[in-house]
Amino acid sequence: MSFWLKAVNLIVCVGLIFGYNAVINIRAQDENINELNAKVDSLQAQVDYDKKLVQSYNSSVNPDTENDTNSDLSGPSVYNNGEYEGTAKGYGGDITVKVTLENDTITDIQVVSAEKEDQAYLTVATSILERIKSANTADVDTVGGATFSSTGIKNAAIQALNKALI
Amino acid sequence: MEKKKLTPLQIRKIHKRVRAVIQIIFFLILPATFSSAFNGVKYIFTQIGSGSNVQLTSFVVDLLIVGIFTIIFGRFFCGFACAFGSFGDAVHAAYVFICKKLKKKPIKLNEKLCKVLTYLKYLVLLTIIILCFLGYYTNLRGTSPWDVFSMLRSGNFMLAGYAIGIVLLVLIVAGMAVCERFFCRFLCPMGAVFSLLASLPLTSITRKRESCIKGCKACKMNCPASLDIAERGSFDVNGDCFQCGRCVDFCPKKNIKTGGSPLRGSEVWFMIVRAVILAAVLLLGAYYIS
Repeated sequence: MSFWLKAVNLIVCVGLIFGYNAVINIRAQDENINELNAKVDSLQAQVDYDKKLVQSYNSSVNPDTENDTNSDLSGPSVYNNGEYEGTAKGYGGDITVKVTLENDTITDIQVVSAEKEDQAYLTVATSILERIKSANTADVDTVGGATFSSTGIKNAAIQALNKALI
Repeated sequence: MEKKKLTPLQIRKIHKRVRAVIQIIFFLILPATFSSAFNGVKYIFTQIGSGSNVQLTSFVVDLLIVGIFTIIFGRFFCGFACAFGSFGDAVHAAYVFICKKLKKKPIKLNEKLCKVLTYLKYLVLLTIIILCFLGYYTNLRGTSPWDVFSMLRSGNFMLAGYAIGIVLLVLIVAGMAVCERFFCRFLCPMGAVFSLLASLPLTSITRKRESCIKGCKACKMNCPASLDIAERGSFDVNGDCFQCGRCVDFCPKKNIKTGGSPLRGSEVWFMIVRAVILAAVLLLGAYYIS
């Protein structure tokens, strides 16, 4: 194949990927805006509803009745608070993950050591940390292309969470 | 340096050794670049197939680095830095050595058949890309011979569920033993990507056809990919050239050069410079992204 044909082909491919990315990003932004708008609307509705509730409450109940509806929400019920470490086999060796728990919520999770993992693969695999944190569970999908390393991180996180169980 | 004239045989021996040393160093410090760069290709098509955006992950960074390097220097990566290619060279060298000991002639594949087989790698690439695009690729765990190779290389022997990958790897090893660069020429999907890249003619190997000895085929005979070398000044870089530089050293008329430059292409310093640039950029890229 001639050089020029290949050059044009390459430029078209790279251009397509950039164009595609731009379109996807614009779409994601629009979606984000719509989502936020919807959130604002529902919050507004909630506020209106609460106002009404307060009004009806004020008018129907006499002021001296004490209200103690505040149920006990503080304190963990599934996991102990604190930092817990777990270790599991990744691609080339052991991966150690540290999970920080506060009131049953994963507030922080990071890879403490992963000496035998390939750098490129580990970097991709660490995106599973964000998934675990936002899902608040280690039961998440592994990262494509970096299955071994991300499975290692996942299993290490599961082990850490098991240690934290009350 | 002492100006002692080396015989062509000595020169070839030196160049062979330097290349082997470069290959071993890359095998030790950057053994996963070939699969991580190809993961970049798979990642891009998986993302597009699922309607997600393409981000600059470390796989994509490796793909960009290796791709741009190949555009400038040709498939030097394949010939000197790819762990799988180096492994194949070692297997082939072992086979040739054993044949020599047993006084048996090494098997040679039919040339016409080889020419047809070179198109197979595009089919492999296309199949993988389509599978990624449709989202089926993740279900095919255990079928990739590269995965098996990488696992064995890193000392991971938990190969349950990798039967297909193991069988393919064994077949590929057998092929690479018999035919030099069997996998790279016929099957490698990353090689297909490289062949499709528009490598600049600056560092490609060319010859002046008119000054060749009539009927001499020394370059083609010794080329691991049995290539016909392009004419000087031509823009058509052969996408299957691994830049090994063997043709340069075998040409009895010293008729083969790099691009239009006075550079021959097999100089030791030129090999080292390219290797250092490649390694430095790859390591910097990994450092930058992490």
